Amino acid sequence: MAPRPGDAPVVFDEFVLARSSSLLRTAYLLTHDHALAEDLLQTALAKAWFAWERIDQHEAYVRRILVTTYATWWRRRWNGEHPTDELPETGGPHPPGPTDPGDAVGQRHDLWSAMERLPRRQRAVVVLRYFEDLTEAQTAQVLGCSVGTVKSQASKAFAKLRIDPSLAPVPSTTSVTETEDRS
Amino acid sequence: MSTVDDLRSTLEDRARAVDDPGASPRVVAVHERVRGLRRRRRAAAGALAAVVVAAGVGLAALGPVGGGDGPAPAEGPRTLAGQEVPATVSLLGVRYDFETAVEVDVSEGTARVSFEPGEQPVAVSLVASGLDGGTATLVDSGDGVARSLGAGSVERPVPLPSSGTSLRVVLDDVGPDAQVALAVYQRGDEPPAGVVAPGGDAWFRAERAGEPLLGGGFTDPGGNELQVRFELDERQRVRFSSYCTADAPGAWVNIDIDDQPGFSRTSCDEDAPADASGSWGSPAGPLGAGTHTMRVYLTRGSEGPLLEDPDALLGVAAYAEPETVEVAEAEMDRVIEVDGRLWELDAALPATRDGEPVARRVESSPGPRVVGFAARGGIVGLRVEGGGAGSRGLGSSLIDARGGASTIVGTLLGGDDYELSLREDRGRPTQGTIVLYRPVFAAADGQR
Repeated sequence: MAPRPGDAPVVFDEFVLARSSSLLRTAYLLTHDHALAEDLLQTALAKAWFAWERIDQHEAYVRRILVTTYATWWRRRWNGEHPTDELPETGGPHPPGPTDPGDAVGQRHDLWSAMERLPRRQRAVVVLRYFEDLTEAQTAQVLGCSVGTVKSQASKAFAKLRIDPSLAPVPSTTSVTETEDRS
Repeated sequence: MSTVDDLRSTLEDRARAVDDPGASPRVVAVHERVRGLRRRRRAAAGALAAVVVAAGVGLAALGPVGGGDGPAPAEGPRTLAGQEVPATVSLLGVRYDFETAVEVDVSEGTARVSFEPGEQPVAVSLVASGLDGGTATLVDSGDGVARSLGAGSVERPVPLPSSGTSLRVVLDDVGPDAQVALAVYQRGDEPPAGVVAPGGDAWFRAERAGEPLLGGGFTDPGGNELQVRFELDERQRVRFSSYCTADAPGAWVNIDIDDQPGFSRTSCDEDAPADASGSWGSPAGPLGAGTHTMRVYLTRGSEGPLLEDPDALLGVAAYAEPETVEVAEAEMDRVIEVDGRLWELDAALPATRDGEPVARRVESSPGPRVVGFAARGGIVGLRVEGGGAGSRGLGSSLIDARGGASTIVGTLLGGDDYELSLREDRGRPTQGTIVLYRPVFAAADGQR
């Protein structure tokens, strides 16, 4: 049945009602900030509105705008406001990390804090791969880059997490490879 | 020891802890953003080259009217598509000069013309003659923005989106002798009367919807805070506008009025329109006579610290509120600005009965009408049925009417029949009225 005038906006609204909570979570994992997450999500949805009738996979499209918009924001933010937040490639002595299983909550907090210090594309890769459970190819498609770039960004992300002073021993690249194989 | 499982757990824990304030308010907020983007796209503030690219069938010729190697000078009127078109036009006080023309091949039903971002903003006028009862419609992103009927006409120029756009000219039942063209105008270098930012890249017009600018100002480039005072001779309602461009992500522009912080907090746009008069906010009540202070400042996030950005430019202004009328327990302006021109209230059509929507018909609209609505109760939008080319973009505006609200939706083009109805997104009771505005013709316009 041919669409009638006015139909598309209704579908859009229904999409926002049904799916935006999920997208908000992704936005928060990317931005680590509730206000920025809402702003990012609304920005992405408003951009998507203009292309709504031309796209088939709406959620994938919005997610891609979300991530690419975030990447742009974050690039500027690192350069403009927090130029010293980039971690050095090599670190000094690591503080002792939690070894007691009871420290799991604290360890997760540290991991969350360490993720905040990841460059934008690396954080995006981490979120897409390990929260959205996208494959390398899907992640590459969302970010508009090659699969090789996704692999290298993931590897660099784990390398940075490994040397982050707030963390205990971190996932090895072997673990990453195992996960890659599962996907 | 941290593993990929720890990473997944951390992400999932953080995601689960996100407190979503609700999707319905988000629908409203997103539509507000869309409306703002669409307004800005058609605001007289964009940056488009007056260079057009034919994209698709139907375009017969490009280039300046009368031939030549470049744009014709903006001197006297000239003939285009069998009509005399003016050399210059004024859109809300901003001068535009004739730049070039695009002639449309009437043997095809649709012509497409793409405009790409450039140095100067442009506006486009639909010109037609010999339509022999048919219609020529100019469509921008699904929205009909101008239509020529009957024998033909020179339609008032419409400002184009700042980000570039692809226009369609849709011809319906036109005769073989019809002539259709687009006259492309480029904004002049002089900003309009009012308060102008350093460098002339933005301004607050001296008058908005017929009401005067009470006070306003801009920071120097890189400034992140500004205070501007204005005087009121008597107790009255005031509307405030702001301007913000910033390169920093997550930048928000805030306005404090007198001793009340946070009158307005919105995200800062990278591509704010040069005409900063177009959008505004208004306190619930009037301000007293005397001196008042507006403070505008830039923060990270909605409530974050002051943000330094060498590329930031902020502005704030106050305008007197125009005459309003009460519709469905909400206030609507008697005169509004849409698509670079003034419109005045023409009709108010009750659109609910006992809390349920009832459809209203607008038959053979004699000319363009801006449509809007006022409602009280629920999250409410407008549904538009009928209409020909250019009606796709209508009916998309949901507003939060739980406390009473009104909005402008778009333009109904002349010559079509429409069925208009309100819809509450969950089917809850609401009270509402649909309003129609007709164009205000300036004596010097000489255009429809």
